[in-house]
Amino acid sequence: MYKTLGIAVVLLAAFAFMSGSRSADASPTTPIGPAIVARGKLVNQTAPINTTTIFTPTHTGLFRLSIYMTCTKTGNSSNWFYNFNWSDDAGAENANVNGGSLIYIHSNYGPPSAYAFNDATYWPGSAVPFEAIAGVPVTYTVTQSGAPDGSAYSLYYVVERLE
Amino acid sequence: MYKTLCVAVLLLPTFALAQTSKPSSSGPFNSPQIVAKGKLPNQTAPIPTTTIFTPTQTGLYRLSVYATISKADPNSGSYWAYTFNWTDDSGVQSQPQLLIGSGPSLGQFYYQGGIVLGGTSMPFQAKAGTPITHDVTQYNGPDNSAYSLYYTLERLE
Repeated sequence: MYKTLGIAVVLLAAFAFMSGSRSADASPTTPIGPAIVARGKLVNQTAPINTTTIFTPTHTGLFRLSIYMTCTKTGNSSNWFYNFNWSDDAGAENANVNGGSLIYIHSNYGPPSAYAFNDATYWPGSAVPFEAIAGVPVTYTVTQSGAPDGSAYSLYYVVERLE
Repeated sequence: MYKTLCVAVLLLPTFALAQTSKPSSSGPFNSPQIVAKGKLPNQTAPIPTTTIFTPTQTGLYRLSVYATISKADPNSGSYWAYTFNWTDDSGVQSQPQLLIGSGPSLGQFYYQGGIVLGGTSMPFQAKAGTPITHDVTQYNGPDNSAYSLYYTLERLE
C-alpha cells in the first residue's frame, strides 16, 4: 500500500510542478502577448529628468515604447518635453517631432486636453516601435522650456519586446 | 491498494481544477492584457457615448482603433468623427475627432489635418472606477454612407 501511496504522491508532485511552470497566459484560448521588459510610473513631477536608462537590451530586436504624460498641475508659461533616445543598426537615434522630442505638454492646458501629444497627429501619448541594439541603453529625458511655473506632470510608460 | 489509487485519481482532477481557476489578472503580469474589444461593421448611424470599459485598477492602457468608410455616398458632404474619452490623474480627458471619415469617399479614416496613417495605437492612463467611453458623430448627415469600426483595449500595467 505504501508503494502505491508513494506513486500517488510522486504523481501529484509532478502534476503540481508542471502546472506551476506554465505561464499565466499559456492557456489554449489566451495567446501569449509581447513581453513587457520595462515599465515606469512617475507621479506629480515638478522638475526636469536627466538622462535616465529605461532598459538595456540583452538582445538586438524590435521593441515598442508606450508612453503617456499628463499635466497634473497647470502653470502658465512652460512646456514639458519627453525626449526618447535609442540606438539601432544605423547608430544613435532620437524621436524628433516637436523640436527634438517625442511628445510634449503645454503647462497651461487642463482637462480635457491636459495630455502630451505630438505636432504631427495630436493624439494622446505615443506608441513607438523601434529597433534597439543589445548592450546599448535606451534612455529618456524630460526637459522644460520656459521658466519654472509651478506646473507638474505625471509620466507612465511600458516597453515591450516584439521579437 | 486500489482504494488508495482511486483517491489519488480523484485528487488529480481536483488539483487540476484548482490550478486553472486562478484569475489571470491577479498580481503583476508580463504581457499586455486585452480587456475589451469591439467590431462594428457597416454602421449607418452615429454611436452615442458608449462605455468601452471601466477599469477596476488605475494604470496605463492602450487603445488600438481603426475605422473605414465601407459604403460611400458620392452625393453627400458628410463626415463621421470618432471621439475617445477617459479620466486620468488630471481629470476627465477627451480626444475629439481622433479619427475622421469622409462620407463620399471609401477607405480608412484620417486624422486632423488630413494625415492618413491607418488606425491609431494610443496609450493613456485611466483611473479605476471611471468609464472609458467613445462615440461616433456624423456631421452634415444623414446620408447613405456606412462605416466599420474595430477596436481593442489593452491593459499595460
